[in-house]
Amino acid sequence: MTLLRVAQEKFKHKLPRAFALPLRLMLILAGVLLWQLGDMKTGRCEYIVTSNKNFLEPYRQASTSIDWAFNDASRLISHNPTKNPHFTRWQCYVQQIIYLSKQGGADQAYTTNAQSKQRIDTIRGQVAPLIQTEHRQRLAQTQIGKNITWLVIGSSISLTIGVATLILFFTRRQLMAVSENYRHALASYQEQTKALRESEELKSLLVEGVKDYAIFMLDPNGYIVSWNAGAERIKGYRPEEIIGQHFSRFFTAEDIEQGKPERELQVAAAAGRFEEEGWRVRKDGSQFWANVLITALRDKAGSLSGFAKVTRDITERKGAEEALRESEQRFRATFEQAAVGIAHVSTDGQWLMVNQKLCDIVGYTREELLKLTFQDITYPDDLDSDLAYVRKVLADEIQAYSMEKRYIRKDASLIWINLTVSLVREPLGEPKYFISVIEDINNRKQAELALHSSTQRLETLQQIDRTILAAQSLKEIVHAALSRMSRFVFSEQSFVVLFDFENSEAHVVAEKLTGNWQLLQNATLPITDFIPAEVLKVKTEQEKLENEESDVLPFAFFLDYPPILQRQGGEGMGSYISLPLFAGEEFIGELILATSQRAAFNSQHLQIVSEVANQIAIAIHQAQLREQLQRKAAELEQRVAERTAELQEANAELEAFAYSVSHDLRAPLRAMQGFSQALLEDYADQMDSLGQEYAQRISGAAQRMETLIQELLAYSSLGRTEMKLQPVNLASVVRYVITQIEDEFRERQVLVTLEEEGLQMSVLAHRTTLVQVITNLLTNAVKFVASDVQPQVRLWAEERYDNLLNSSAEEVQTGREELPPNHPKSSSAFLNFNMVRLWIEDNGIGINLEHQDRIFRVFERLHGIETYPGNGIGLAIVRKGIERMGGRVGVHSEVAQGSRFWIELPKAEKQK
Amino acid sequence: MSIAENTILLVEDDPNDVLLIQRAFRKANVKHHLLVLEDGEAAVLYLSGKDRYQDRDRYPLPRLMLLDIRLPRKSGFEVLTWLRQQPGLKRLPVVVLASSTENGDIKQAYNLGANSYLVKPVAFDVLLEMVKTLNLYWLLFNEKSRVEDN
Repeated sequence: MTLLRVAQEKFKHKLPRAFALPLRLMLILAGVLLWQLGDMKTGRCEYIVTSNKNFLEPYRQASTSIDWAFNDASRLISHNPTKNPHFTRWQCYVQQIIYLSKQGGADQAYTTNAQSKQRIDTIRGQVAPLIQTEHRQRLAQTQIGKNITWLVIGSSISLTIGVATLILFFTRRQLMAVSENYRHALASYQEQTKALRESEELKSLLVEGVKDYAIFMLDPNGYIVSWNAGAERIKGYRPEEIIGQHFSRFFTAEDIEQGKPERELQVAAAAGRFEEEGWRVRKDGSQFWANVLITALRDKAGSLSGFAKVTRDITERKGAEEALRESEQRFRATFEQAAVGIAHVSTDGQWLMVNQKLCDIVGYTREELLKLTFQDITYPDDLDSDLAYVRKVLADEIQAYSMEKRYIRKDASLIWINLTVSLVREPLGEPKYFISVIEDINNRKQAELALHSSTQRLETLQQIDRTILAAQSLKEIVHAALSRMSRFVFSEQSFVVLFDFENSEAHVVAEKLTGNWQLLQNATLPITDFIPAEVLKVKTEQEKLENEESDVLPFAFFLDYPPILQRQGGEGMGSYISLPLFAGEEFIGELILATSQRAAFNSQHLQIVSEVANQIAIAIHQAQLREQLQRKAAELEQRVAERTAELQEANAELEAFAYSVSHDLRAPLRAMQGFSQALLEDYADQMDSLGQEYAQRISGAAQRMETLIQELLAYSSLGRTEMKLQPVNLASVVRYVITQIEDEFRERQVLVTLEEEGLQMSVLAHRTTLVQVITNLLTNAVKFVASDVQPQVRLWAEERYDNLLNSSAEEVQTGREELPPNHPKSSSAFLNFNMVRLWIEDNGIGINLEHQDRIFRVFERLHGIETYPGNGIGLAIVRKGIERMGGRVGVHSEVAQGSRFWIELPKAEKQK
Repeated sequence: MSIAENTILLVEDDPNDVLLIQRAFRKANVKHHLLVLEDGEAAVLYLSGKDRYQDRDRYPLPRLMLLDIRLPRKSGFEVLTWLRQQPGLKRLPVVVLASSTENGDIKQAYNLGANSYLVKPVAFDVLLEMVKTLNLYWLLFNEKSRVEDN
């Protein structure tokens, strides 16, 4: 565009001398069109390559200019209707060009690019020689025109002078001849003048017609002598108000102050022309950025006749240029100061252009970096995928790509970056260079990695924890932990070994194998295979290492591998980790990982392994404790089982004893009783009274012995009988018992009082046992009554909500602390369990308080057999029977005040 | 009354008990012949007519058997078990006359087919009453099934 404008200005500048107008117009138009075609093409190509609409701007502007050029040409031609064959040809080409350039929008221009280009090139090819021809013709014609002009002007002047001289010197003598000549000359002059005037008219027409340029003439002193329409339009003055004014009024006050107008004229006068761009002032005082060309006009003699001044308002262009410069600067700034690395990279990977940020990221200077390729600084593991992308982009399979990868910085450290690459192509589609945007994501990546590994670690540890909780044996725990660990830390062999320092042995608890390593599972090895001194050294080294920020650990500080690993790994041993296991303070073993890879473990691995080692140590410790506990429990259980067996044996013996008492002890009694009886009956006449009494005593003793045996059997069977507790109505039991002992009661004339209401309650009891208990209590109640007193027995029952805890202290009670496990009272409702207490009150001799707790024991008797017969088993049966049913017994008694015995049993709820 | 119809078999190892029972039988005026065997094995041999008991005239099948439980060689339960499996003998009335008051013994005796269970009392008077009742019930009133019938 700039070129176009310059051409236009040059065109204007040469106008005063212009002639053969149509031809010149054509030439200019052709030039304009070719430039514009160039602009259009460039714009379109750039658009095609980048798809950036901004690049279409020149194209659009060129299109507009073509319209202008064509219209202008048409207008000019309309003023000069000469039919020129050149013009027709030009018109034809111009139309073609216009057609091509306007064909469709930008997108279509893109799609028809190849075709259009070809056609434009063809036209160009045809136009170029024409232009050359026209140019030659123009040069020739200009020369002719110049000669003629100066000839005419020169001869006119000299003729005039000549005529004057002739008139002066030969007026008198040759008046007629002169007069004739003068007429000739005048005619000739008039002819010449007419030609001149015609040329002036043309010139002023053109000058007047140009509206985009202020074209005006100055006299040698800078006063305005002519003013065209363009000048009026641009500067705002009408001809009549400006002609005769000094041109300095177009300058700003500062410029005038500095004498700029005069200087310009001086320069123009000296150099022939002066051109500049600068601020000028319009009539209304507004300023515009002007392109000014001042050409000194000299007459033939070379003296200054004035100046032609062409001014053009290029404020807009200046703005555009500034905008362009600004945009360029902005782009530069963006490129240089971007927070991301930006680079142009050749298709073979050479850095072509890099910004400072990229240099910062990779740690190279710009100069160093430009000598390298991206392959040189890409981490080898990441290179293949990058190259694969590059190939795809070059093959046009993808437009751009983005990936995360690592660069090797100049200091050999790695840095994670995010790379976005797109390809810039040549207009014909050939790859030109890559634009790469490189973002430093190292911190994010490190954070991600750290997070990931800590998450993983946490998960591993949790899983190991869970495993520890779930696992049954030490072996399972260790094996599970090793399996988990192997997911995060690769090793060909990992195992846990526990030391037995006493026997200098080491036991392999569990191991995990990958590859062809020798199996150690369950092996017992000499402890010297593991050299504890070095194991302890690991710990201190490990602590030291944890304080350093190193990725690869130098394991070289071990002079040698422990013997076990030398055997296991042999030549193939690359790296190993060996960590001590501590159960509390005690050093119990080692966790060992080994692999044939060199430098296989980094600090993270070591951290994971040491955490796992801690877990395993805890687990082993716990498992050991648990095993200990289980052993103890098993021992206890064994002891309990043995005791139980002993007890069962004893119980069986007791039962056998009771059985034998039941059977065999009674046989002699029968003999004693039977034969003493036989003596008394069959041989009474042969014995004196003393002999008969002896026989009588034998018989009585045998009878008592029989009773004793029967009661003992009853007592012992209470402990052996299975008691099924069922609701039993107290009243019915009491009545049944009274019926059973009716004879005895009648004999002693016992007065029995039953308080029916309470007795209607039911208790949970074993009926037969309850009968036995109540029988004994009733028998007892009437037994210990003075012989001269009528026995009185009163029975009543009451419901009780209390329990063992708040029974009154003076009550003698023998309820045992432990209840049978199946008994309701042993439930949580124990404290609120309803009990029913049956009272049996007598008017007997009473029991001294100090004896009250003795009377329920077996064979305890308070009285001589002669006074109150009995064998001391009755109340023992009562107590044992009640206790077997989950109840309690007690007595309130005072000597000579009678006794109140009570039994307490759980209340049977009414059946639902 | 043939001998066979009059014989009561008493299986009892305790000589004192034998004496007392015999005395009670005498006192109760039981007319039947009381034949005493001292152990279970003898009872089986007798009832099956083997060995020294082959002579059925001397050792006829009894009308009733009084059987103690605790016996030498074979217990009363074993004898009872065997007896109830013998086609010609299984309906022979057996009254267990034992010392045991153990419920287990009593149940076992009935389970094996005892017709009655009596506990030998210590008091002779009671024994005498028992024998009298036995005589009345089992020997006089009770209708017997002929033992030899299948």
